[in-house]
Parts: sequence; structure tokens; C-alpha cells
Amino acid sequence: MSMQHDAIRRGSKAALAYALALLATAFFAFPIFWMFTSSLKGDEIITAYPPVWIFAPSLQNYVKLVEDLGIMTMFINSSIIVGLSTCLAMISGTLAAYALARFDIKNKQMIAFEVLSIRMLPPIVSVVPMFILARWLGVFDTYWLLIAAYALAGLPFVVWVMRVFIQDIPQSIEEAALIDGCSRVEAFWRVTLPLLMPGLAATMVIVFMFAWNEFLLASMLTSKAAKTLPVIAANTLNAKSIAWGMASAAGVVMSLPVVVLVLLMQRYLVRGLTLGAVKG
Amino acid sequence: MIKGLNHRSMSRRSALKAAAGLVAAYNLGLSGARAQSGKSLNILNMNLLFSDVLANQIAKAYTDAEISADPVPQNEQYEKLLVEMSQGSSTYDLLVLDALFIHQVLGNKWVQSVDDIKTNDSSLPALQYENLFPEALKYVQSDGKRYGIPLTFSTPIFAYRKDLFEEKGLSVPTNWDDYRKCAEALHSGDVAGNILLLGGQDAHMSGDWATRLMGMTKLGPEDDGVLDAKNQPIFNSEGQGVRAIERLKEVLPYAPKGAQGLDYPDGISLFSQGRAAMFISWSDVFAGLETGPLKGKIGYAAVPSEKFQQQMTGGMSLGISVNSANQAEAYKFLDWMLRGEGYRLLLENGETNLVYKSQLEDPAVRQKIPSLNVYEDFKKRGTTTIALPPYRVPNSVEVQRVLYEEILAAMLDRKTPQQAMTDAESRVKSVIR
Repeated sequence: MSMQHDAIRRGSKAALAYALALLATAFFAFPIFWMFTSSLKGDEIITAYPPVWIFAPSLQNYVKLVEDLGIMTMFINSSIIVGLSTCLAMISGTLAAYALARFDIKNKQMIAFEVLSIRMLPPIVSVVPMFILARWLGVFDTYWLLIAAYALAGLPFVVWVMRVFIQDIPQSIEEAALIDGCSRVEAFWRVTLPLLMPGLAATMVIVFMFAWNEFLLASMLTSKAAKTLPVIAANTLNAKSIAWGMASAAGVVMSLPVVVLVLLMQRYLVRGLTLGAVKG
Repeated sequence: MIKGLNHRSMSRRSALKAAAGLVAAYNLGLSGARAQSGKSLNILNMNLLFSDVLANQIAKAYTDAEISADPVPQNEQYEKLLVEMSQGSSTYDLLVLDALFIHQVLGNKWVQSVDDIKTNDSSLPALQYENLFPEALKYVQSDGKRYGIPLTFSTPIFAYRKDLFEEKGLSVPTNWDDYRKCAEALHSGDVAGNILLLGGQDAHMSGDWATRLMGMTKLGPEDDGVLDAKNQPIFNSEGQGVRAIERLKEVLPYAPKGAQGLDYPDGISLFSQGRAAMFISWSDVFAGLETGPLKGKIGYAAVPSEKFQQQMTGGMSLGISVNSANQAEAYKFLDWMLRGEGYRLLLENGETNLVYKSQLEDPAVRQKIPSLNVYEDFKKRGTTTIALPPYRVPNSVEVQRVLYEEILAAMLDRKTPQQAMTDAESRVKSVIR
């Protein structure tokens, strides 16, 4: 009898847990569902109240994004700029983090804080100086400017996060590699780096998302050649009205690469996000 | 995991990929610069309806130069304009200018007078300004010189649900007492009596409070209702500023419950969902309403008034940047626009805030665009148009912010209307430059 009760209680608990999980999933997935369905609605039903749930889907909003706003060019711009800047930030940031984590550098806490202080600067403060510099260097409205800006903006985050991940890896593993004849670079490349993959994946996704969604610098430091997706997506929302269909379609297009990236990195991400969480 | 990776081949492949990426990026980065070296015009555009037409249909139709007019969100366009022009940048040849800040642009001499360009190059044709609605030229003239061409002309409009008005047997209100009665009669749990735009600085300042203010005192030819000819505050000279706030407060109970803090986009969204019976906003806000679920159910009229028939007007214009290296080309583009083709494309593609005289006089056009009915009302009521208050001072944005803060404080009962207006007067005096 008691065992039966226990089984019923365990079953009820599991059912409740599943129900709660489903509810939470529905709660967080609903805005995405709403955005996706809105992107397939026409003007005549998109703001209708009560909402229209069953309708003939149309790709008209996506066609407008491509034909009127030239979103494909911006997509390519974003991919190149954000891809390269993320790679740059990850490579240089990880190397800097390795140095800060492993070597006895004088005032390294101070150096780490100096790196972090870049992150404390509100982006709006740096817009005008960057604009003046860009014009002076002749790189205004080019990929290079945004690549440099995003790589520099992502660098402090990479340095700080990767430093913790590197500190979590026992130094003795590297020392063993050094004893076995590896140089310092080889020890890093062959031993430490593969162990850092979860951390690298988690950090890369976050740095990528920061750069992918960045609007202010992309808007102020470009004119036409290097415009990125957030600038074009923002055009669907004007000060006096909102093109809901196009805004939703732009939201879907903007979200896709991040979703794909997260799915690709999923197996690393779960470990990466929890690694170091219980570090003493 | 270490075993599974071939680090040497990965390294070579990654290096090759990175090199290819860098070369591609470099080539793509240069393409913009290459386009600029030809006969081209770069326009600092906005993202309103006319901007899309300018960037697409007009840019394609104009063959004498390559037009680049990528839309930029309206607020960012203003910030971009400030950064670009204050640094003497020649990125843009033409600038889309809002009447809200045109005096700042003119005061800083950021746009070149078209009269000066013509004087310097006699081969250029005379611009055909006579084709335009004279009221719309207010925003492109200063000290006897002309600074570009108007693209749109707008004014606050009273939009209402014809079906709900008929249901209740109500007629279109022409004064604020009738407006309040209509709001009260139409207000229900599902449909708000009216929408107030208390959440947006511009929407509140030039949409709600100023529409009430405009009809309360007789304005002189040099007044704008907020400042006099010497830029001194006159918005509460006879207590009209206080009365305008009281007028707003009396219809606040008939605004959507819990959603008083709306701005233009939220207001129009709510109205297009059928959640409100009446809505006063600028005519350019209503673009797209006739393609939504309420198509054919909306009536348009001039905004109610108090003692005097006076209404605000505003608009967008296109000026030639003083730093442009292609001023003659830009001038030729304005000439092409004034010949009518550009304005025809604006009309064909849905622009309703027209400035081209022949279009405004065409009965077929008036029938096609119901919101133009407001100009018939202007004629019937003998309305005088007043250029956008309080935007004629170079630091108009500061003046607008001060007024917004004080009016909102009164609306939220943080101050009495009298106290708010007294504070507004002293603060506006201190920020006027």
C-alpha cells in the first residue's frame, strides 16, 4: 500500500515537473511563435483584435525585406563583420587570458582591470571620437572599422571569462606536456585548447550575439557599404508607426544565425556555461 | 578529444579560410568607395513612407546619377546628422530634414542655399517652386533664401471610427467640449473613448497639449503659440497653457485603461486594432491605416478647436549639404523632383502628405486619400496654419524636453497645472539660446 502511494506520489511529482517545464517552455517560446506567425501575416490581419490564429501564410514580408530594404546584402555584411570580429576577439582574448592566468606578470590584476574598464565605457561616449578617427584613417563605412570596433568591444569579456576557464584547468597537465617535450605554444595548442572547447564555445556565442545585435556603432559609423542587419531591421520601426509584418520578418532573419550557432555549439555550451560555477 | 583533432591540417585550413575571408572583406569594403567615385548622390534619409519611395522608386527612376538613400530610423537620423555635419563630413550630398529641427540646421549653416548654388553656376536651371503648395515652402526658406525642397507637408488630424459615431448618433466634434462628450459617450470596456499620446516627448508636446493650445489665443504672424518673435515664452500668457492641460485631463478617464503612456507607434497600433474610437495625431502617422483591418471605417477631419481656428503644420524637406562635393548634381536632382516625376512616384506609392500643387488640386486624388479632407475643413473653418511650435529656435529639442517634463508632471498630478506652467516658463527662458 505504502509502495503504491510512493509510486503515485513520485508519478504525480514527475507529472507536475513535466507540466511546469512545458508551461515554462510555452511561456518563453510564445514570443518566438508570435514573431514567426506575424512575419507570415498580411497587413489586414496582423493588428486584428482578437488575433487571427488561422490564416493563409504569405512570404510577402520577406520579399519586401529583400526587395525594398536589400536585407541580403546586410546579411552578408553582418556575417563577415561579426564573424571576423568574433574570431579576432576570441583569438587575441584567449591568448591574453592565458597569459594572465598562467604567467607571473607584474600587476596582472591591474592589467586585467584595465582590460575590463573598456567594457565600462558606454558605447555612445565613444561614437564621436570613433567617427573622427574613422574619417581621419579613411575607414569610415568599411568593414574594417566595425570589425575593429566589435573585436575591441568583445575583447574584455573574452579575457575575463576565458581567464577563469583557463584557471580551472590544472596546470599540472600542461607541465606534464612540457616535461614530455612540448614547447609552451604546443602545450597550449595540443593540451589546454582542446580542454577549453566548452568555454570557448560559450564565450564565442555570447561575443557573437553582442556583435550581431549591435546597433549604435553600426548605425553611426556606416553610410551604405558596411551597413549591418540591426540597422536595416530597425528601419521597420519608425518613430510614428511600426511595420509589424516586416519587423517580425526581420526579427526572424536576425535570430536565425544565432539559433543555428547555438544549436551547433549545444554540446559544448551546457558544459561551458556550468564550468567553473562551483569553483572555490 | 585531443586524439581526434589533426591540429596541423586544421591550422592550415583555418589560415587559408581566414586569408580568403580577409581578402573578400577588403574587396567588399572597397566597393562602396568605388561607387562614390562615379556620378552619384548619397542621401541621409529617414525611414518614413516617403523615405522608402525615395530609396527605391525615385532612386531607380532618376537616371542622371546613382542615388543612394538607404533609410535610417528617424531618431538615429537626427543623431547621425548632428555627428556628420558637426564634423564637417562630406559623406552625404543631400539631407532629409524634419521641420522639427530645420532651424538648428539652418542656424549652423549645414545646408547650402539653392539660390547661392544657382548664382555660382548660371548653367543650372531655375527651380520650379511654383509647382508646390506655398504653405510647404515655409520650411525651406530663411532670410529670403531657399534651402532645398519640401517632400511632405503634415498637420494634426482628427481620426474617428465612423461606424461607432453612427451607432451612437454622434457628429464630428469641432470644439473640445464636444470632443469630451464624444469621448465619454464612446468609452466602454472594450473600446476607449480616445487615445492620448502622453508617453512620447514629441507626440505629447506637439500632438496633445499643443493641439489644445493652438486655438486658445489669437496668434500674431510672428508667433508660434509657444514663443513670440523675440523667442520669449508666450504659451501661458493668458493662462492658455494651464487650460490646455486641463483640457487633456478632462479626457484622460476615457483613454485606454492602464495605457496612457503611449507614443505615436503604440497609439496607431491600438487604434488600428479597433481599441479606441478617436485619435488625434499628425497626418503622417496615419499612413497604412487604410490597408489595415479598419479599412473604410475611419473618418478624418480637422482637429477640434477653442476660440480661434489655428492649426499646426510640419513637414519633411530635402536640403543640399554644405559639405557636398556634388552640389551641382544635387541641385539637378532637386530640379528633376520639382518637375513632377518624383512627386508622382511619391503619390503612386502611397504618400498622403502631399506638397505638389496639381496633386492637391486634383479631385481624384482627394477622393483617393480621405485624410486630405482635413484641408476642406480648413477652408470651411477659415483655419490659419502655424509652423510647428516650439521648434524654431536652434536648441528646440531642449525647449521641447522642458515643456514635456512639466506638462507630464501636471498630467500625473505631481504638480498642479499652474505650478507646471510657471516652472515651464522659467525653465524655457533659461534654456533658450
